[in-house]
Amino acid sequence: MAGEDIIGAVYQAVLDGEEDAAGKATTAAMEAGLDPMRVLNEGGAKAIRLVGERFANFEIYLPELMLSADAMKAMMNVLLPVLKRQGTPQSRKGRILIGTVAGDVHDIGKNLVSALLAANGFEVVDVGVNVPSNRFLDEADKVQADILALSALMSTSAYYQEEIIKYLVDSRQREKYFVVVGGGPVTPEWARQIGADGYGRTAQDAVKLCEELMRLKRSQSKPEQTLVFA
Amino acid sequence: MISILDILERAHNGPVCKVKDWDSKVVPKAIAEKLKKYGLTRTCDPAQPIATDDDLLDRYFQAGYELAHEVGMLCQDTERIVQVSEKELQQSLMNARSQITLGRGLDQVTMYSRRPEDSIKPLYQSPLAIAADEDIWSRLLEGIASNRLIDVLETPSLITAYGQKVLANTPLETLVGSLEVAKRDEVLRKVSRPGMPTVGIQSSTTYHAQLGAFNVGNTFTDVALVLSPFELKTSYSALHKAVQALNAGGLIRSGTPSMIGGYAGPPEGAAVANIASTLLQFPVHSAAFAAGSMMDLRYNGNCGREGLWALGTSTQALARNTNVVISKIVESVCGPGTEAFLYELAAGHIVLTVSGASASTGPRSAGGKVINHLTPLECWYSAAVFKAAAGMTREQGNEILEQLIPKYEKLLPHPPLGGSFQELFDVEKLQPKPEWEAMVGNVTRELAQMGLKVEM
Ligand code: B12
Repeated sequence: MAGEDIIGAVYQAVLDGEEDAAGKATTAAMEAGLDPMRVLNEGGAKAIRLVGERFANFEIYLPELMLSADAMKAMMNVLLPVLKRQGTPQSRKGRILIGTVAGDVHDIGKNLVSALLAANGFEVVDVGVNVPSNRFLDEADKVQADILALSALMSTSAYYQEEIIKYLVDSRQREKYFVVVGGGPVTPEWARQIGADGYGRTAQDAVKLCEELMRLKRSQSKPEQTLVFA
Repeated sequence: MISILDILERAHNGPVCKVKDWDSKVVPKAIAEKLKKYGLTRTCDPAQPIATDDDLLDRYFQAGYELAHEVGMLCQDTERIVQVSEKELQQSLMNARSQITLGRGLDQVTMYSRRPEDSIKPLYQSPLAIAADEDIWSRLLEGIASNRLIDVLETPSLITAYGQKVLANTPLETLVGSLEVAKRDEVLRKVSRPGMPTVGIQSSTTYHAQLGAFNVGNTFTDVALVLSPFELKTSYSALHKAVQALNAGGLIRSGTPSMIGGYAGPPEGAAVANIASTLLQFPVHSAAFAAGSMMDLRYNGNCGREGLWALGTSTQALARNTNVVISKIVESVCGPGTEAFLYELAAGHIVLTVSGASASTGPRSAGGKVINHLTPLECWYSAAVFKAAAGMTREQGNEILEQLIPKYEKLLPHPPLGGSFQELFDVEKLQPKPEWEAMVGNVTRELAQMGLKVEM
């Protein structure tokens, strides 16, 4: 297959939300010696932009978005090690650990945020719902997350967003991760009060927020105060 | 007849399916097939939020009914499918009550299975579990319960117990359940409605509060609230509540919401999913009556045109084709003290009454998201509008909606959140502050001009 065709196959697999096909096509592209950045930009990223637009226009819905995000992840799983070997600097958008906090089973908002982040090229590790604080912290450590994204839909579970940040402070690890919060009853005031690094009102805001935080991280700085995207 | 034990057995041993596959593949695919098979694709007409084509409504019912017994519900804790055969579904629908009497003495009320355009008045259950501070919680509830337009009493959520934060999943939840019941019962005595029917446990984010406080000791709560996740899913938390309610002699109101733009896809898909999930509440959760809600992912409510359409269509399809008692929710997003909120509530409740809902729980003041943004006035107002619309035809309903919807639809993505109980009410006198009262007065007069006479 010619380079164009292989990239076309990656594009199509991500567009159609075919996880296996995306992984295979990307592997084929690497075997053919294609430039990983080209595969990313002309293949997956191009497709996912279209998916994002279609979702915003309600031509497709959450399931299609989730499947395309998974296909995008499959592509990234192949590309990342190659990019790392080549030392391509702009390759890392950031690794985000996301989940809904303890006692809370609301998952649609979290899934939407998770899919849009993945669609925008972040490495997303989704730990699900009703996640106890200690598990969040263990997982964050394990996957070496840049950002912890905590979703809470109830006032009684939002307390756990506070608990996690407090634990990080008390165990002198606050500098390790950026912590961002969101979900229905979570407000910018709450985010500031608990010392979160950022608050996003919608899934689109969550993407902008994480992009901004990663920009700061790359310039080795951090937000002066809680960043609010609403 | 299927029993809760059969359901527990299936939740443990049924066919395996990953939650993610269920959400992103199994359910969307099954819904898409039904839409195609019954010619439902693109039948949502935003210009006519209350559908009037009976043949179409009956095809929606068929699609939802088939989806229910062909797909079933996934237990998300075990990742196993709880399947229900067509025969079992039929039997449990046949056994379901077409009227339910709740409460005692002068406060007793009866909820009826209704038809679209029915003149029987539906019942109003209020409020939703919106978080309120402990110090004003009782006063707020007193204001709501004191008005006889409110038939069934639910409660705001307590987020502290004796001043301590109620963290989800901890023993404080078990404690807050009994605190809620005690405080609620005290309010009932204070407003002299000791026999008013109640629904609990509201402050319970998990099942702990219910296990700790539903009909425990000398207390009595009429109805247990059993909710489970989108789309066509159940959980051990929901089943815990169901088992406990059955053992404790309570009736179950259970429901699973549907979401436009979510796993069910377009408004048409969400309507079909909602019909299926409403039907499955009877065999799976032993529901005495079903609850159901419709949301639109774009703004987290259901008072936009597609949201109202899907809410009404699923309600009408069920009301035309079953004798079960169904309760639904108007998912408003604006807050108390704003006109947009009152228009949203009017639009939503007209749709529900005209479509044949037996009851509604609400209101969802400020989308239910802001602590203390709930006042008794919008509870009374919603109940009054809901009842006033009984007997209205679908065409009349659509005419009024045509005047109401343009007044708020543009605000839905960034809704005004309004004010709190303390800001809009005189907490001492338990009276609305003049501006808020006047605003409601003006909107009721506008509604009267549109042909809906609301008596409060
Ligand atoms: C659907 C729903 C349910 C479903 C959940 C289904 C599911 N699988 O998710 C069911 C029926 C199971 C349910 C149960 C309960 N619920 Co509920 N539920 C809702 C409802 C109606 C919609 C939530 C939703 O899915 N929205 C859609 C998504 C897209 O929006 P979202 O989650 O807010 O996410 C968006 C943003 O917030 C943001 N975002 C989300 N997460 C994150 C994270 C980060 C890091 C960032 C940056 C952004 C971000 O991006 C998303 C996309 O734009 C809300 C009311 C509401 N209007 O929100 C109540 C609500 C959240 N529930 C509530 C309650 C009380 C309960 C129950 C306790 C009810 C009861 N008494 O049993 C139980 C608790 C269950 C539990 N243990 O978790 C309350 C919470 C009140 C409060 N302030 O504490 C609410 C607000 C309802 C109310 N009272 O009006 N619920």
